[in-house]
Amino acid sequence: MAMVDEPLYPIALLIDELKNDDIQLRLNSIRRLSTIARALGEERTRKELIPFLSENSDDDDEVLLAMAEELGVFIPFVGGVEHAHVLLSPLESLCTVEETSVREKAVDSLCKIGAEMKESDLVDSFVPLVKRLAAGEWFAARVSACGLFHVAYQGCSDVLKTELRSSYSQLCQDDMPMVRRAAASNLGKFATTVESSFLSTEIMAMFEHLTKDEQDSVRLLAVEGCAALGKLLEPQDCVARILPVIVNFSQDKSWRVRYMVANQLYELCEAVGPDCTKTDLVPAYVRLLRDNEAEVRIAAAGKVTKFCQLLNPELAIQHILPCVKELSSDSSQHVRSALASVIMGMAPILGKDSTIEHLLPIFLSLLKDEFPDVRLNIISKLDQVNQVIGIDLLSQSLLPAIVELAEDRHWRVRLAIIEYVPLLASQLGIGFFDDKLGALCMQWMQDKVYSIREAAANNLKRLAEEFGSEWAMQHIVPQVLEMVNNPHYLHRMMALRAISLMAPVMGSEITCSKFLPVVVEAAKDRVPNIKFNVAKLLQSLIPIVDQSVVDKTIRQCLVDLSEDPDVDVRYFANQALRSIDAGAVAQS
Amino acid sequence: MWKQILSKLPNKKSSKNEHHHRGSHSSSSSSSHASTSKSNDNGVKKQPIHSQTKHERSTSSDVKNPKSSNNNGVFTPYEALPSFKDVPNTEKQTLFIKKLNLCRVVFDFTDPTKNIKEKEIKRQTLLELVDYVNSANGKFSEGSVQEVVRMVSANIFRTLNPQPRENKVIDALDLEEEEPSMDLAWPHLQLVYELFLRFVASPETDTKLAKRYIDQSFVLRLLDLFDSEDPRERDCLKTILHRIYGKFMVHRPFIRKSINNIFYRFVFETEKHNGIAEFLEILGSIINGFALPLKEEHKVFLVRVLIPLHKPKCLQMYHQQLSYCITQFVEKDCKLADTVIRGLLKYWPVTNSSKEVMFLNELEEVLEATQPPEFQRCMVPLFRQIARCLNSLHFQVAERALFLWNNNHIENLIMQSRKVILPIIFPALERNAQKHWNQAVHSLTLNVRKIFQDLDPELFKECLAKFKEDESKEGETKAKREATWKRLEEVGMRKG
Repeated sequence: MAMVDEPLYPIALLIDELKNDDIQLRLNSIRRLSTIARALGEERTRKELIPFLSENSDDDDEVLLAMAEELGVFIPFVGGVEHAHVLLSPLESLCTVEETSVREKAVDSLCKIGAEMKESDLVDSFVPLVKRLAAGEWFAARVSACGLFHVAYQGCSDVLKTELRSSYSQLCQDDMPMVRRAAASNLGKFATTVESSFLSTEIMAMFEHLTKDEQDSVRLLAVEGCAALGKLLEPQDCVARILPVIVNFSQDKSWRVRYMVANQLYELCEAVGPDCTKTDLVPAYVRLLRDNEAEVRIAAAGKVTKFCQLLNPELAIQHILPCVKELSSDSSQHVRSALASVIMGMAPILGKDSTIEHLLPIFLSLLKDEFPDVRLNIISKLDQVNQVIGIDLLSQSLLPAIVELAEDRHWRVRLAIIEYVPLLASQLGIGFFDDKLGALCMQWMQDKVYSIREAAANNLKRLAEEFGSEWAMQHIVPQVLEMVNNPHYLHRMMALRAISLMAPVMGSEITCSKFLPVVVEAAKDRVPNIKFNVAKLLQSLIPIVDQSVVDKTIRQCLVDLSEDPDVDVRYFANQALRSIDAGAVAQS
Repeated sequence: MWKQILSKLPNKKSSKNEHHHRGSHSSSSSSSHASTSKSNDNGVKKQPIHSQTKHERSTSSDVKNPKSSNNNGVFTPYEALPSFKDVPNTEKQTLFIKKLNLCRVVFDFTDPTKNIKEKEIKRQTLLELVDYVNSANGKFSEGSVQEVVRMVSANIFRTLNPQPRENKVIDALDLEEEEPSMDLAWPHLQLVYELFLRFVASPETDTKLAKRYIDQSFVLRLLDLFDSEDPRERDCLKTILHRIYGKFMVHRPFIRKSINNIFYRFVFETEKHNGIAEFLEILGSIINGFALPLKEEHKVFLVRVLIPLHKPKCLQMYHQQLSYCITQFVEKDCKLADTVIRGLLKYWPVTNSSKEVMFLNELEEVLEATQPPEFQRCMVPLFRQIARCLNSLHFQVAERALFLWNNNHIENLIMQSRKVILPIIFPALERNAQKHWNQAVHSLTLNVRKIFQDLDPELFKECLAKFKEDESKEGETKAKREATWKRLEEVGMRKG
C-alpha cells in the first residue's frame, strides 16, 4: 500500500525514461505502457497518461510505432469501452506523422478501437476525427483518413453519412496521387459498409473516376476494387459496370495495370461469374497471355491452371492451349518458369487424351529447357501428371533432366532436386529408381557443399521410409557403412549423420547388428569432431536399442570417451552418460 | 533574377551536353555505317515496320514469337525524302512536316538485323531535322509545333523496360554488378531528344503557341521518363526539363508539384526511382535562384520534401545533389540551419555506416553555414548523436566525426558552447581514448581531448570526475531501473 501514497510516481518514471538518450530504453518503456497504466489505475490513466502521450509524438519513429501498437489494445486500461474515446487523441496525432509504418499502425489501432466503440461514441468522437483527418492540410492525415471511413460510417445518421460519402469522394479526387492511391485501395472496404442504393450511384461514380486517373499507380489499385465492388453489386450491375472496366484495364496503356489484371484475374472472374468469364474474359486473358511485356506474361502464365478450372475443357483447348504452347517457348525464362510451375495442374482438367495429345509435348519441351528453374518446376509437380497419364510417357525424358539437375553447378539447384527425390521415387517405383537414381543419392553424400550432404543424408532416411528397411539394407546401408572408413573426416562424419537419421527407421535389430559396431569403432577415430559426434550419436541411439545393449556396449564406449584428452569430446560423452542415468532413474 | 540563373546555367549545361552528344554520336554513326555496309551485301530481307499507332515497342527478340507479329502495322514503303537544300524555301516547311511524319515510325531495335535500311534513313532524317530546327529563322507555325510534339511523343513515350526480376534467377550471383541498362534504340532516341532540346531552346519557338501542345499531360509523361535506367536518356531529360521550366513560366508550379509527388511516392511508398539525382540537380539550380526572403512555400518544400529524402536506403545515388540543395537553403537563410540539423538527426542512420558518413559530410557543410544562435538551439541533440558517432566501431564514421574539429568555424562554435557540449561528449571521448580499436581514431580522439583540456582545464577536470562517478554507478543505475519497473508491476498486479 505504501506505493499508492506516491501519487505521480509511475508517470514521472515514464517521463524520465522517455527522456533517456538510449532509444532502446525508450522503446522498452513504451512497450511497458500497460504496466504503467495498471499501476496508475483507470482514472489516472485517462487523465494523466493519455494526455501525456498525446503530446509526446515527437520521438523517433520506432518509439512512435510501438506507441501506436500499444494503444490499439489499451481499452481495458482506460476503463473499458465507454472510455475508449480518450484513446483517439494520441492516435490521431500519430495518424499525421510522416513515417508510413507509424501511420498505418495508428490507423489499424483506430479501426480496432472503433470497432468496439458504442455507436453514439462513434458519432460523437470517431466521426469528427475522421472528418478532421480528411480535411487535413498535409497528405499524411488525408491518407490515414481513407482507412477509417468504413469504421466511422456504420451507425451514423443519414445526414452524417451523406457528409462522409462526399468527403470520401473528395479524397478520390484529391490533388495528390498519394491520397488518391489510399482512397483507391480502401474503396472496397468502405463500399462494404455503404447501403446498396448509394453503392451503384455514388460509390460507383468514385470508382469510375479512379479508373480514369492519369496516374497508373492509382489505376492499378482500382483493379483490386473491381473484384471487391463486383461482389457487392447485383450480378447484372456487375456485368454492366464492372466488366467493361476490367476489359479496358486489360488493354491499359500501362503494363503495370495490365500486370495487375493478370494477377487478379481469378478474383475478377469470380466477381463477374462463369458466363461472362467464358464470353468476355477469355479474349481478355488471351491478350494478356500474349502481352508485349514479359512481366504481364509472367503473371498471366501463372494463372493458367486456375483460369482453366473455370472453363470447360473445350474452351480451354480451343483458346488457352494455343497460348500455352507459345509461352512454353517464350523468350523470357521467367515466363517459362511461371508456366512450368502451374502447367501440370492442367492435366486433370483436360483429361487423359487431351493431356497426351496437347500437354505432353509441352511438358517434354519444358523438361529440356535450358534454365534449371523451369525444369525443376516441372519435376516438382510430377505427381499431378502421374495421376492422369502415368509416368511412363515422361520417364524417358525425365531421367536426363534429373541427372543434369543433380549435377548442376549451382548448389541450390542440386538441393532442390534432392528434395524431390522421395517424390520421384514414389512416382517412378523401385525398379526405375534402383537403376538410375541410386548412385546419385550416394554421390550427393560426398558433395562439396555441406547443405547438399546434409540433405542427402536426410534423403536416405526418407527413401528408407518409402521403400522399407529390407530394401535399405540392400541398397543404402552397405554404402553408408563403407563411408565410415573414408579417408576424409567430413565424409566419415556424414556417414555417422546418416546412421543417426536412419537408425529409428531401421529399428533396433539392424541398429545393434549393423550400425553399433561401426559407431563404436568410430569412437577410436583420430579426429575429435568424429569422436564427439559419436558421443551425440550414441545418445540418440539409447531410446532405440535395448537397455542391455546400452549397459553393455554404449555405456562403456561413452566412459572411454569421457576420458578423452579433448574437452568437447568429454563434454558430449558426459552429457550422453547423464541421459543414460536419467533414463535409468525414470524406469526404476 | 530568373533570367540571370537561366542565362548562367544552360550555357554550362548545353556545352557539356553538346560535347556528350558529339562524342556518342560519332561512335553510333560509325557503328551503324559499318553494319549497313555489311548487311547490304547479304541483301537484307525487308520486314514489316511497326507502325506508329502501336502503343509499345515489342520487347521480344524472338522472331518466331507471335507477339512481335501481333503488332505489326501496315507495311508502307519507307523512303528517304529530298534534303532541305534541294527544295525551294517556300516548300521547306511542308518538307519539315513530312520528315517529322516519317520519323514518327518507331523501329524495333532488339533485333539489329531488322530494318537496317529504314533505320538508317530515319537516322539521317533526324539529323537533317536537328539541323533545320537549329538554323530556323522565322517562327515555327502551329502546324510545325504540333507535328514536332507528335513526333517526339511517338518516339520517347514508351514503356520503360521493367527490370527483369533477377532475384529469382539462380544465375544472379554470376551477373556483373548492376550495369546500367542501355536502351537499344538510343541511336534514334538520342537524336529525337537532341531535336526536341533544340526546339524548346529555339528563339523561334513561340511559348504561347507551344504550351498548347507541351501541356501538363505532356510534362507529366516527360517526368515519368526520368525513371529510365539509361543514364544518357536521363541526362537529356534533365536538360530538356530544365529548359521547359525556364521557358514555360505557366508550367513552373505544376512541374514543382509533380516532382514533389514523385518524391513522396519514392520516399514513402516505393524507394525505387532512377531519376532522383537528375530531379535534384534541376531543383538545385531552381533553389539557387530563389529570391530572398524565402517564400513560405519553399520552406515547406525543404521540410517536407528535401529533408525526408534522407530516409531511403539508396541515398547514395543522389546524396551529392541533395546535399547541394540543402546547403543552398542554409546559405540563403541561416535561420534554417536549426531545422535542417534537426531533420538530419531525425533520419540519422542507425546501422548503415556508409550512409552515416554521408550524413556527417552533409552536416559539416551545413554547420559551415550555421551561426551561433541556431547552433545553440540544436546542439544538445546534435552532440548526443555526435557522441554516438565518435564511439562507432566503424572507423570511418568515428574518424569523420572527429574531423569536425579540423574545421575552424565548427571548432569555434563548439568551443563557445563547450560548457554544454563537453559534458555530453566527454564519456565518448574517454571511452575512445581507453579502448577504440582503430589507431587513427585513437590518436584523433586524444587530439580533440587535448583541445578541450588546454582551453578549459577546470571544465575538463569536472567532466572527468563526473565520468568516473557515473561509471562506478553504472551497474547501480541499471539495477535501480529494473527494481523500479518490478515494483511498478507489483503495484499494477495488486490493483488489477
